Amino acid sequence: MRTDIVEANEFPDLAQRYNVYAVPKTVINGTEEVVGAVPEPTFVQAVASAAAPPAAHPPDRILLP
Amino acid sequence: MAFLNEQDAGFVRKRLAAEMVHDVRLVFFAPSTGGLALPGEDWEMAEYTRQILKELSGLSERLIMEEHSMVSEPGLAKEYGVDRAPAIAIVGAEDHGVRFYGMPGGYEFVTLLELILDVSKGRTPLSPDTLEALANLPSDVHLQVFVTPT
Repeated sequence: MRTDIVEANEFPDLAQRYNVYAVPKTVINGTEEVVGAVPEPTFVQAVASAAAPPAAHPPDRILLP
Repeated sequence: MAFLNEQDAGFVRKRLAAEMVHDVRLVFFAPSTGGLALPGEDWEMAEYTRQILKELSGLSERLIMEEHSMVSEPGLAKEYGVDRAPAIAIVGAEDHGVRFYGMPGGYEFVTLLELILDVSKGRTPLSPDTLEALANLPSDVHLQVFVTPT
């Protein structure tokens, strides 16, 4: 696990890339986001979700001929 | 110029003395060396960061500051996974992958202090459930925590 604390004002390119409007905001693997302070289990859930292999999306509906 | 007044310095010195377990290296990467700034880089923030770290490392024998340059030591920066500056790698008995990008001023000074103490202890106050969940993650995780000093 790598943890970067990023001072948003000094790195506006990163802040902009991840739409940081409020702090603290945590971006996990560049995909999942947690804004503000949240209970530990909620945070763990976000981390687990970011680390999980992408789920195969089932088709929304099956088109019948 | 001192960043910490005497009272704050005393408080920090006490906490470091009471809570540090392993030595911690504050591996600082400046954007460039000397007074020569590359276009687009904020030399002032880097210089303040350097001064804060210098002052902080003077408060405990267990805190060791190293000064490096992104420009003249790109290989070392890469070794630490540091891709922008000012950056601080906070390294204890092991490298837990903790990096601080930007100036640790204002409220973020406390963030840096807590990071140092956690790294020095080599553990965090996370619950057993959390530790188990993290140990079972299928892949590596990169956290980017955005903060501001105010």
